[in-house]
Amino acid sequence: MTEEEVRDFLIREHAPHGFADRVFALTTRQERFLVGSRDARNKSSLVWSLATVILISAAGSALWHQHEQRVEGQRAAQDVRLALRITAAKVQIAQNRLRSEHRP
Amino acid sequence: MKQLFLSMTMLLALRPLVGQDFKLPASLDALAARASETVEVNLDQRMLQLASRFLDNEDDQEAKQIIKNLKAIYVRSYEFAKAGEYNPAELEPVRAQLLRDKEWSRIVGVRSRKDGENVDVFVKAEGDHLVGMWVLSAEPKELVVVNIQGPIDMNSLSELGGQFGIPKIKRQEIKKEATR
Repeated sequence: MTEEEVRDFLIREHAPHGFADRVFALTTRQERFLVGSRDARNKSSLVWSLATVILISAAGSALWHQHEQRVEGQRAAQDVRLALRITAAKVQIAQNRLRSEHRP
Repeated sequence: MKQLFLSMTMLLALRPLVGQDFKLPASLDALAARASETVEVNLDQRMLQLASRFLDNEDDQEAKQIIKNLKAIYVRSYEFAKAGEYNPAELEPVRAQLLRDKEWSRIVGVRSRKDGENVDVFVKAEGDHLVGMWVLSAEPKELVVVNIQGPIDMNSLSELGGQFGIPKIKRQEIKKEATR
């Protein structure tokens, strides 16, 4: 290759008309696509996180409520036993007294 | 004078007693301040229903049956350190109201001068069924008031003490349970 040929080969050529705009438009579109899909991914993971938190909270709340109900119920059952025992004892005292008084 | 004032206060507080469903007079709660041991039980229908789900021991079956249709149980039991710490006449307004109310009948009235033990059992009947009960028990060192609302089987109730796996009641046992 002669020196002249090399110079011709390396000579700077202008890009075709509108090339830069097309490249810019393409990169912008890709960027938008990438940003959009990242946003969608973020949104989706946020939704999943929220759903998980809500689910865990609901399950926790249900379990806590169940626990509270059990504690309250056991306490109420204990109160019932106590109340009936006191009542039964008093009724029994009265009955025994009556029986002994009416015994010949 | 003080006793008269207390009795009058109680009488006023007990005015709603004539009604069908009533709770224990608030004035009774004032005795708690003077008592050495207090047992207070307040169980409305919702609590009774909840309790019945937890009365699952073999020994509890009779109790479960008794409370099945009850509307409420209220108990106040006060034990005093020594005799004379409360005036047994404080129960008089309750007794008088129940005696006056034609819906209530006193089926048991025990007066023991020897032990100073007085027990009254009042019941309210609807047809053949008992639908309410008051137990007023005044001993020198102990005062017990029980109000049970709803259909009740007296026999089953009295049999609870000593049968169906529930031992005969002793004061110590009640105290233990109350402080638990």
